[in-house]
Parts: sequence; C-alpha cells; structure tokens
Amino acid sequence: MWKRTKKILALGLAAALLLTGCGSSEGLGGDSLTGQTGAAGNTEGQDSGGSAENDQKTMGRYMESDIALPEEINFGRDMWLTDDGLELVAWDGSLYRSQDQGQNWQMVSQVPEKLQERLTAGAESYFLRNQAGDTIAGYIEFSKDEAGNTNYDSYSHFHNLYLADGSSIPLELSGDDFIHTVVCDREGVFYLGSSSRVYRVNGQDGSLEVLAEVRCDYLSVCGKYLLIQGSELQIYDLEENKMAEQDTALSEFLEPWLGSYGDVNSRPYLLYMPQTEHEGVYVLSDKGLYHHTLYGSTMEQLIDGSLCSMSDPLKEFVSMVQLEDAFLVLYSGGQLKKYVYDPTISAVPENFLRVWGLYENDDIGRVVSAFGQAHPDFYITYEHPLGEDTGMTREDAMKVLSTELATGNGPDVLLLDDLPYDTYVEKGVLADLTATLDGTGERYMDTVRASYERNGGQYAMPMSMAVPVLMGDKDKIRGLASLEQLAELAEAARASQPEGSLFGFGRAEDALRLLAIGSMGSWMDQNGGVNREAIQEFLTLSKRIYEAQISGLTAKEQESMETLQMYMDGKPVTRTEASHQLSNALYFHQPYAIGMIDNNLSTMGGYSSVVEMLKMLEMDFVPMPGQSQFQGQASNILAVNEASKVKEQALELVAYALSTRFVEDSYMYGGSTNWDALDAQAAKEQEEGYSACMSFMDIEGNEQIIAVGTPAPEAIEALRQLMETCQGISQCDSRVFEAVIEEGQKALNGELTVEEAVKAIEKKVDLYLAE
Amino acid sequence: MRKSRKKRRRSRGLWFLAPSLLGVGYLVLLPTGDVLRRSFATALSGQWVGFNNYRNVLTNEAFRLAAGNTLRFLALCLPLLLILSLLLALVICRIPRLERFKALYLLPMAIPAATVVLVWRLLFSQQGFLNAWLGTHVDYMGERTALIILVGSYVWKNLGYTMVLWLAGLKAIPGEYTEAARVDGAGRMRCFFRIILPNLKGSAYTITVLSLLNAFKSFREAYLVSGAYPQQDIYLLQHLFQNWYTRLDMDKLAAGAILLALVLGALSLLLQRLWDRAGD
Repeated sequence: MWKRTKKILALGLAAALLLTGCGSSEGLGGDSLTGQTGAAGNTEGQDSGGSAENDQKTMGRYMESDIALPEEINFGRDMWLTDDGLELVAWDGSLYRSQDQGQNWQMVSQVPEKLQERLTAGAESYFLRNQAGDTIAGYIEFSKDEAGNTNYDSYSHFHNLYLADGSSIPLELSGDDFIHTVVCDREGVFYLGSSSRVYRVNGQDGSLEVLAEVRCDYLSVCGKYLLIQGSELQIYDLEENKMAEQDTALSEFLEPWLGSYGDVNSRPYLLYMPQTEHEGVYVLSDKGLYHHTLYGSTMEQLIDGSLCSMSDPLKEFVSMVQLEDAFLVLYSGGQLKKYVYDPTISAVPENFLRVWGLYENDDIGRVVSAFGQAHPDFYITYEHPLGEDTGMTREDAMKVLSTELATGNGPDVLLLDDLPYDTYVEKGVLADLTATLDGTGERYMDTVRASYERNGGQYAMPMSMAVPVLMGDKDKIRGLASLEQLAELAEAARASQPEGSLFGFGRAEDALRLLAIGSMGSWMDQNGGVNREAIQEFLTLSKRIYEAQISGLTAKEQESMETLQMYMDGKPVTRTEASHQLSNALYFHQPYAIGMIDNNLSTMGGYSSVVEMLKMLEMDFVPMPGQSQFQGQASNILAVNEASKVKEQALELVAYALSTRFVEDSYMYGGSTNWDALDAQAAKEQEEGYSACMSFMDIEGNEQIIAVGTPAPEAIEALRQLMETCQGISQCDSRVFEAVIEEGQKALNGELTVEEAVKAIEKKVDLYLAE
Repeated sequence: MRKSRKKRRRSRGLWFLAPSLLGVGYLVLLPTGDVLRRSFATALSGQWVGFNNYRNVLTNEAFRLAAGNTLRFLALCLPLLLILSLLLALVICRIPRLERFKALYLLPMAIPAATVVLVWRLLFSQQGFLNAWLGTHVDYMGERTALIILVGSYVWKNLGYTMVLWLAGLKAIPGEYTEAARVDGAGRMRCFFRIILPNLKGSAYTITVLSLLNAFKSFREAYLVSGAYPQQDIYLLQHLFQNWYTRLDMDKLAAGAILLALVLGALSLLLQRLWDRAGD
C-alpha cells in the first residue's frame, strides 16, 4: 500500500514538474522584440506576440509613406484638421489648406507683412497661429547704429498677439520670463509656457493670466487638461482652474525627455489629442506612436518607431493629425509622412538584422532608421550596451559579444569603434568588404581603405574621419613636421611672449591628448609591442611644450581654464575638435591651437565655423607635426559578421551608410571618407547656402559675433588637399594610448621622471600585450 | 525468478538515476567534451590544429606568469588557512562556551564580494584609511602588498567556515581515545599527533579540497578591485582566462582550461593517494 502511495506521489510530482513548464522552451518569452510590437496589429488566433517564429503570425502594421509638400511651404510650423480639410502653417506664417489629405495645397491667408519678414529671417522666438486666424508671436529685435549696422549687443524682446482682423496687441510678460512653448486649445485660446510660469492669453485684450508658477518646457492641450511638461509632468484642469492629479503612467513614459528643452518649433516627443477624443492622448516619440487614456495605466503602442522614421535621431516632431484611416506626422525639416494601416502584412517584419556597437551613435541611428524605411521586410535593431543606465562595463559588453560571436549568434553589423579590429580579423569574425565597396562605384579615400587592409582583404571601413592640425600664423607653422620642431616653436613663442596662453591647455592630460593625435601612430612596433623609444621621446617633447604653455599662464587664465573645463560622468573631458580649440584661441587670444578637423560642411562645429574662426584669428592650418606620418582618426567603423545569416543585407547596410546618398541627405556629424559624398555635400552647400551666427566671448568679457556660412570654394579645396595628404588612419591600441596618457601626466606634472613614466607604461601594458 | 526481480530492481534504479545522469551529462560532460574539442581547434572556424594551442599557451608569457601567481597564491594561503583554522578549532573545542557563536564564525562567508571590495578600497587605496593612519601615500593594491592583501582576505573570509568544519571533525573523535591515552601518560602534543590528527584524516581531505576550490573564488575580489589587469603579483589564471574570452581567444582558453583541469585533477588524486597511504 505504502509502495503504491509512493509511486503515485512520484508520478504526481513528475506530472507537476512537466505541467509547470520545467524543461520546456516554450513560454519563456521568445524574442523580446515581439512583445513591443504586439499592439501594432490584430492577432489571428493569438492575443499577443508577433514573433516571426510563431506559427500564427500577428498581422497588421502601419506603413510609412512620404507626402511631398510644395516648395513654397518650405518647413511647416504646424498642422491641424478642420471641417474644411487639412491646414498647415508654412515657415513664413502663411496658412495652406488641403482637401485631399495633403496631396494638393492652396494658400488661404498670410500673416502681417512685418511678421512675415521676421519669420522668414528666423528672428522669432516663438510663433503660433490658431484656427481662427489669430497669431501669437515673440521676437528679438537688434538695435542699429547711425550707419545702419546691426548692433548685436543691444536688443529688445517683443511679444504680440495679432488678431485675424489685422490689429495687434502687445503682451506684457515679466521681464525675466523666457517663453519656451506656446499652444492653443480647440477654441483657439493661446497658452504660453515659460521658464517659470504658464500663462493663458486673453484673446480679446491680450491680458495674461498666470495659471501656474512652474517651469514649463512644453505644453499640450488635451481636452479639458493642459499638460505642463517641465522637470516633471503636471496636469492643469482648465475647467476647474486648478492643478489636477498626476498621471503616473504618462509621467513614467515621458520621464526620459522631461527636463530637457530644445527648439521651440519642434520637439523630441509630441502629445496629441484629436477632436474626437476627450480622454485619450497620442504620444509620438522615437519609440513610436502610443495611445494613452488619461489616468489610465497603459501605453498602447500603435506604431513601432524602429520600423519607421520616428526613430531617426535627427528628426523631431512638429505636429500630428489623425485622419479617418491614417496618421499624418509633420517632422522638423518639413517632411510630411503618412502612416496607413495595412492588415495584410505581418506586425513585425520576418527578417531581423542587428547592428551592434559599444556606444550610442546618432549617425548609426540614422543609418538604421533610413535603411529600415527602405527595407520594410527587415526588423533592424541597433544595440549599444554602454552609455545607458545599464550598469554594464566595457568588459561585460565585450564578453556578451564574444559569447554571441562564438556561438554563431553575433550581430550582423558591427560598429568597431573601441573594439579590437585585428583580433576580429585574425579570428575570422569579419566579412571581406572589398567586393561590396568596389561594387558601389563610389570613390572612397584610398589611404583610409589601405589602413584596414589585412591579408589581401578589407574587413572594415569607417564612415567618418578627422585629421589633426596645428593652427597658427601661416609663416610660423609652415614646414613644421616633427614634434621636436613644435617643441622649439613653443619655447620660442614663450620667449617672445612671456605671459599668456599659447595652445589653450591647462592640464597635463589635455596637453597629452592633443599632442598625441599626431604621434600615437608610432607608439607600437610592427610586432605589436610597445615602442619604448617613441613613447619616451613623446613624453620628453610633450613636457617641453607643456612647460612652455604653463610657465606663462596668468592666474586669471588658469582660473578661466578651470571654469571652462567640461565634465562627463564626473570626469574632466578633453575636447579635441578644431572648432572648440579655436574658440579657446579666441577666448585667450592665443597664437596657436591644436585640434581635429573634419570635412563636415554643414554643422556649426564643422569646417564652416573653423574657416570663419581661422579668418578672424588670421590663422592657417598645417598637418599636425608629430612622430608618426600624418594620419587621421576614424569613427563609425563598420564591419559585417562573416557568420551573419543576412550577410547580403548587412553588406548592403554598410554600403548605404558609406554612400553619397546617405551622407548628402542626412548630414552626418563627422567628415565622410567618401570623396563623392564630400563633393556632393560641397555642391549642395554651395547651391543651398548655409548661414548662422556664432557668439564668442574673450577673457576680458568682450563679445564677438561671427557669421558662419558655406565655405568658399578655395577653403573647400584647402580641406580637400589636407585630406589628400593624410596617410591613413592611426590605429594605436586604446589600452596603450590610455596608459601613455595616464602615466604621462605624472611625468608632465613632475610626479615621475619621464623614464619612470615609461617604465610604468610598460608595466601597465606588458600583461595585456603578453596575452 | 529471483534473477529477473534483481534485474527489474536494477533497471528501476537506473530510471531513478537517469535524471541526474542526464543533467550531469548535459551540463558537465558535454561542455567538457566541447572544451576538449576546442582545445585542438582554431577559435571560431573550428579547424583542427593538433597541439598548437597547447604549445601557444605553454609558451605564452602571460600564462606562465598567471600560473606561477596562482600556484604561489595557493601555496601561501592553503597551509595558512588549514593550520590557523585547525588551531582555532582546537582552542574553541576546549572552551565549549565559544561554540555557541558558530553562526558568527560563518559571517565573513555571508558578506557579498561587492561589500568586501568596497572595504578594500576604503582601506587600501591611495586615499584610503590605512594611508591616513600611517601617514603614507601608497596604492597598496598597485604594489607588491597586493598579494598579501589577497591572501589575508582569503584567510579572513574562509577562516570561520573552515574552523567550523574542523570542529565537526573534532567532535566526531570519541573522547575515550584521548582519555585512555592520557591515562597511559601521553602528553597533549602526543595526543594531538597520535590520536586527533589521524582521526581527522577523513575531514582533512574534504576540507583541503573545499579550501582549494574556495581559493579560486578570490579572483572575484581581485577583479572587482583592480579590473582585468591588476598588479602583476595578483594576476591569476582567471584574469587571463577572462581576458582571452573577451578577446575571443577561445582556442587558447580551451587549452588553458584543460591544462588547469589536468593539474587540479592530478592534485586531487595526489592528495587522495597521500591520504590513503597515510591510512595504511
């Protein structure tokens, strides 16, 4: 009897184990991606999921398409839906209407001429038009001297309400208030959000009512609620005229963006409530489009951002409209996109392509987004384990990557920045890119390509590169080639100028990092060991240059350098961009500067601003004198996993990232390694023009404004020649580089002699190199 | 009839053993076999290279340094721990009141490695308490003192636990043996060497093997304090293996792991042989 009982008990336990799922791989969650997008479609026979591996696929997804806006609209400022159709406010404030869901547009009305001028010139600090035709705007006006020249030091702020009947009423804001945002509700009432208050504007007399005294970066009207987004999300009840309860789910969802304020015309996320809804709100972000019922507990995803333009880090949101069967989204840059639900395709693309890099990189984010739009059948993910709140170290991330690569489940595309290229080539991890790059027909920089050639193949290619330059008086820097000559120049400069900064660095670490960019290529020998003599010479000469710089710094300069020091994660950061170093030169009235220059023509920190600052300082640039050949620094180094199951598409993605099409359209931050892209970008810049203003202050507090524009053809030619003289990419091992910087500082500060520092460096990297 | 019942009983026994055999096979034997295979092949492509990986490992300077350091660490900390804990167990055995605090002795074992590391940093860093007390400015974890700190930490952490194990062994020795010896005129030392130590033989083998295995766990602390490349004296085999793994040197890693397993296996067998011989 007892035996039988035991048998039954044993069988019962075994059955219980099986039923609870032990040993079964099903039900463990499958792919983490699928849960995200389950809401995107209706499910056939299954409530959640959407995995490609599931037998019964979740069907239905919103598909993105472009709607071309007429050229005269330029960048849209706002868009809404009325009974008469879709209405859009153009960059100059004119109102356009479309009765065919955005295909054709007719101008309906314009704003007063004076305001239109200001808007066209981009002089407004905020602007909004309501459906009734009233307009609210704020702008800055600079005073002019007797000769009619603009005096940038003297300006006034104006705030006006322009009524549809043509009259205008000035608004009276407190002097210290800076308007961050403006919205209007369905009745056309304007609300202003400033750095410390939220106002309601009386449309009759322009009087302002303070609703709340809180910081407000963005405002959204959702039915009877005003959503105030500052350092936290607060809700104001417009009917009860008091603050309402917090919406926990929405607050948590918006938490990553709260507290940051950007452009007044566009936002990193958007809250939108259509006319038909009273409690429901749509949230548009890089994660996708979500629906949320106010005070509800869930955020329901309707569109997965990674499957469309929403995830593009370059794009921000201007406005959104819900049509009967689609959503229209107006992006910054004037792009209008339509999202139509297609029930016939799977909710999640059936093919997966993974892009992996240690750190988050906006350029790669844009590549992924743009490539994903062109390949709707692929779910492309971009993973970057560091730089988020993951708590992961570089070693941890690399171990995870090693596991994946060793088991054949590695990412399809690898971003090799700060990863060991030679190790991966040696282990056969990377695919040969030679045929892919040759097949594109584009002219990539030969010296860059040569730097990545191993055993007859090329296994990686950087998207961008920058080259180190010495900037200063043309006659003095011309012909300098070695670090020794630079040290002599520094000492001579100090002799003739006993006081004042020469190069802009105040810390030994900054000096070493700047000087290293022209020398680090020589720190390793051909056998992969440390070149002791080269490091010793580098530290000796760097010490001479550093001492020349430090010996003449005034107390005020030292104090300013400490104040200007940038920190990241509590650690001081060395900025090596030429534009930054030149702004230092302007600040300290320096004769020289050292920095990295890239061939980016279209961003403020790029070549355009370098050209203008050089002009202002009467400086020129030459390749950075150093111990090694003139070599550049690469970034966004792309490679493809040899074992990728979608190798063809992975290679295609790499080719796309390097292509003229991508570089030209998406304005990459760094300088392209593709001559064709550089030429196309230059031609486009010349054609479209580019103008901006940069403001600088010197150590005495004098402000200077520099107008930055498209570089002249001869400036572009000078850059081209600089790039052409570049001998390749410097590939110093990051561990050796950091050891030199860490121990070298002690030598420059006098804690160690140069010889002791070299020994400490060797000791530090010996183990690493011996492995 | 009886034979078939025996057979049935044996097969029933096998059924009961099957789950654990399957588990061991899948989780231990199969991976071991895979590591053995990889030790004769290239890292990712899996091409056969014979003993090349072993040759590379044995000629690798980092491996030789790490193996030497690991041996030195074991040679220092094992005898120290075993002797100290036995002496303490003998003392506590004589003072029954102290036995009540057994749980307290195990406390260092319960302290998480992260906390230990934090204390290390507070104590031994250049800006740490030790420097403040001594008025010095030494990075104790970056100097040769690192090994002493590592050994000290291992002994501190395992002393209570090992002592409790010895106590269990000591309690198992019948009191009559020592009493009879005393009556025959044997002194304390004679009782210890002739009666207690031989009777502790069974426990000693288990305690030594456990302490040996625990010694390998000290890597956690060393890694958390000094990272992948610590002071040369505390650069252990685990540091090297981890770095090889990170750099995808699976071939060298597999060969190194097999060599280490062989050494540990040989050491265990040697210990057992010594114990058996001492028993004869």
